[in-house]
Amino acid sequence: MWSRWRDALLRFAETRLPALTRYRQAEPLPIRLHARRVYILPTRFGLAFAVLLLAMLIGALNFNNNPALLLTLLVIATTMIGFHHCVGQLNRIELRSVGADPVHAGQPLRLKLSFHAGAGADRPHLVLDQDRHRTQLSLAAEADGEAEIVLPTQRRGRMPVGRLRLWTPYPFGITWAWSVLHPDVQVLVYPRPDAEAPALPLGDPREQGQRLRFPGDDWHGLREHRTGDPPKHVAWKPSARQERLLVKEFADPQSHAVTLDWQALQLEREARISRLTRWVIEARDRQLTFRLRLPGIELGPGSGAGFAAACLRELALLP
Amino acid sequence: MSAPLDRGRYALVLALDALLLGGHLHWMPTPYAAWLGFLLLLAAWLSRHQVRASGALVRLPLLFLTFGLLVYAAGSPIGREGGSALLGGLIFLKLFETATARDARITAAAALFFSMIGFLFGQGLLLTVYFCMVAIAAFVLLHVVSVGEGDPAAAWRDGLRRGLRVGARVTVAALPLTIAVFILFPRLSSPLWGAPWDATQGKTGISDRMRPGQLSALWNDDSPAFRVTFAGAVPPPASRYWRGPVLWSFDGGEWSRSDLYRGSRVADLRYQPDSVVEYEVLMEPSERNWWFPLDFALQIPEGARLASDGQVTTFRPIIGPRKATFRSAWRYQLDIRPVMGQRWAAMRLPEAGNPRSRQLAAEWRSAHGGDADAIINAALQLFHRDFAYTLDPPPLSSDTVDDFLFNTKAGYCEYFASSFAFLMRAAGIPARIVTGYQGGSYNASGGYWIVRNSDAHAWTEVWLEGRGWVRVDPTAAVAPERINRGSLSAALPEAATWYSEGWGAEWRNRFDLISRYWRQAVIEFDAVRQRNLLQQVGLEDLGWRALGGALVVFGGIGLLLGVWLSLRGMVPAQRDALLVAYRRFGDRLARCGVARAEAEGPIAYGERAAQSLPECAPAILELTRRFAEQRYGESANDPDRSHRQRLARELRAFRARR
Repeated sequence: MWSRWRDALLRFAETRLPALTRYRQAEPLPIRLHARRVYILPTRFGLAFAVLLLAMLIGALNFNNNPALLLTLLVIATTMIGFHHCVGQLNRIELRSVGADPVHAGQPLRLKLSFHAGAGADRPHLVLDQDRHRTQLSLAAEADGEAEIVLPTQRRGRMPVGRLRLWTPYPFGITWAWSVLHPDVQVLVYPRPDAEAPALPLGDPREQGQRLRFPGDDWHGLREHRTGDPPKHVAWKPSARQERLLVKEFADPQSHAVTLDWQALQLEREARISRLTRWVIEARDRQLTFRLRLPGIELGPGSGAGFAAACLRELALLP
Repeated sequence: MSAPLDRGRYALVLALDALLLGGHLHWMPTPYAAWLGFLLLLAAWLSRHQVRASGALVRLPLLFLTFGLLVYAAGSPIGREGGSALLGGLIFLKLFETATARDARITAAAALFFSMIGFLFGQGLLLTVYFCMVAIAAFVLLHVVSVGEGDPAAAWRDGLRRGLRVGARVTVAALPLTIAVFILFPRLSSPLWGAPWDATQGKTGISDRMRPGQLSALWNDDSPAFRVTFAGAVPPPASRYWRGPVLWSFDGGEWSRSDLYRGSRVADLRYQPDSVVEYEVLMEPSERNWWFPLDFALQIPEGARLASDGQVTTFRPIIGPRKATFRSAWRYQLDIRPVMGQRWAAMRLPEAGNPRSRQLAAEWRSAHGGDADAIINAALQLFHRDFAYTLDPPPLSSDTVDDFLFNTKAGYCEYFASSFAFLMRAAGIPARIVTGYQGGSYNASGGYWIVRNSDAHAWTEVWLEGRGWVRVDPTAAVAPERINRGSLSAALPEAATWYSEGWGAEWRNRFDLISRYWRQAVIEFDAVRQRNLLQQVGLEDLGWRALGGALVVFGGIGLLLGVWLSLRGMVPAQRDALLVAYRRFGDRLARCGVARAEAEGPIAYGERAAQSLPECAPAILELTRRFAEQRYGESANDPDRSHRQRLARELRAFRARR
């Protein structure tokens, strides 16, 4: 209930008060934190602690017990100076780069962030979170550091990293300081592979040797010369015998060359993408050579992880 | 949500509780404090052997035992002592359900509160410093459980090291702010609500009841009862009787005050003008209603009351330190004309009991007739001849006077005063008991007299025809040195000398002087003093608004100073001792004119330095080579740090010769 209200209020604020919420908008890297964008509030323990301190203060004043007052004031003053240490933890931290290896939708994305901590104290306890997902990192002063946060993915395509919150309970857990990191970075999410896809549509085994891919590496036969054939392919000896110009032809037998064709699938759009994704993965894992035909694009034939990644990328980015 | 507490961090909770207990030993009933210590050890043992004791089967019995012991030792769980002890017990019981960082935080907060409770029982300088240390320890614990929460157990040591640094640094940096706010924070001129719970039931100091054996607790109590600064001449030691409650009624075992027989003003007082002294009394909180003026008070401070028997009372118990000016005459005659009802009250005895004493008194009466002096002399002779002064007398049976006079024959002032007054009454001479203090020691460095609780005393007054109330101190008949040198030296003539006279006394005096400064500067600082102080710096009576302004300004300055102080030092120390040593090595070379260039590696730098400083070239090259090896070579990952440490030492020891 409360969180819904809060979100609504925030959305309203962001549309109506752009100046106030500018540090929540996406911004290009590097993002450098400074005191004006670091916020601080008491933790729940801090609130209880404040009530306790108030009780101590009133008690000490009432009984005119000066040593007790001295102790209470010392605790209050220590807490207050702690506020500055708390903010100082986030101050001068720089987010330098954000990236992730692509994953399929539905799989957890490991987002890697690299930070640099500026001058000041060490930052032993920073927490980076987004909704319920969090990770902890520590940075030494004037040094670089890496953090990895695991985020969920839902949809294929380019996923904006979104708002991350960097916060710390340092030094005493009485207050927490936070700042919003909203890098203008998108990471690629591959489509979700179809879990119940039929087997990969391999070529008909009977057609073996008939479906060829030209040119290839294996010797295939001779054929008549056509204009444009490279002279080094001319088979001079047979040509002399036959009295016409013959050319050596090389071809790869294409029994394993799979064509993954968008048009061949009679499915709903996302289901097609999902099935093709599954097949691409399968073809990659079986180290097959395949081609991928999508509306307007044809990839391949090709094989290997690089080619599969290119295919997955196209699938992910399909409108 | 809160992370579970590993054993290392749990040990810190234990350590904080141990510190806390140490600060409360001075008031806590011993069996109860011992029980809390046992709880601590038990929790430590359970944690060490990784026994989980979270079940109600363990905690409930512990709770009941704690509560039972509390009632046994402190009397009741309400009131100041009982309530505080209860809170302490709960904090220690919390050890058995401290499993998460959140529990540890609660303990730290409770420790701070309980530290403040400690000041209800004492406000000395040492105690204040101690509890400030406890506060630092609480902050260290807060740091260790909040920062690095959820780290593997091994990390708590780093956390502790960092926590000690951060906690101590921030707390020390908080001192300017604390002091500024302490001076400027508005004080209440009168409390919002009453005195601490059972202020009148405290047990230190002199009470208005006397049962032989009761004062003895005071002998060991060396704390100051009050301090006196004489304006002029100082009365001789034998006349330094500080008059407290006057006891009229005797029920066979106990003497008590009775308001029935006391007039509201002194009826008839004659004194010698040359014996009048004026002095200022600085009273420690006694939680009682009486002052102890020098016998006999002529002029008392406002708000006090002088009863007909010479006792000076206040309307409210003295719960904070109080200062007042008195005038007394130490040679005086009181009530030469008898006061109505007093004679009767001073003759009353219980119907039965102590038959042998009564018989003895009757014998004296028949032997000497109406000669009161002779009867008094007979009694004093008896004491002088047969009795011994001791601070550790044997216990008395129900007929206390008989048992003391005819059996044990050893005791201290209370015993003598009690039996003497009984004998006098039985012999027909009006007598009453006066309690208070006798003596006092001079603090030369502070120029004041200090009367300690161990100077507590009891003596008697008898009413004689034509002379009024005359002070008779039967203790003087037994141990005259008690009157001149104090109770401890009377009881332990040899052992006590260094303590009360030699270098021990000197140190004690010095410490007492510091305590007095502390008392005047901190403990007694109140609304009036605050105003006086502000007037001195020109902020005269500007009222609350000016005070608030000053508070904001000076508090702000203090805060900024603290932030600057604490953050300045937080630039992380180079933890790599080898690198630090190498930098110093470079600094030494730079002083000889060979500064290391920004992008110059150690080896190139070493070679260049060796060329410029041929005299120590071999040393430079050798150190450089080893540094490169230890820092960048295979050895850099060697877990054995001794080589690196040795190299760091040698690098530090390097001196370039030109």
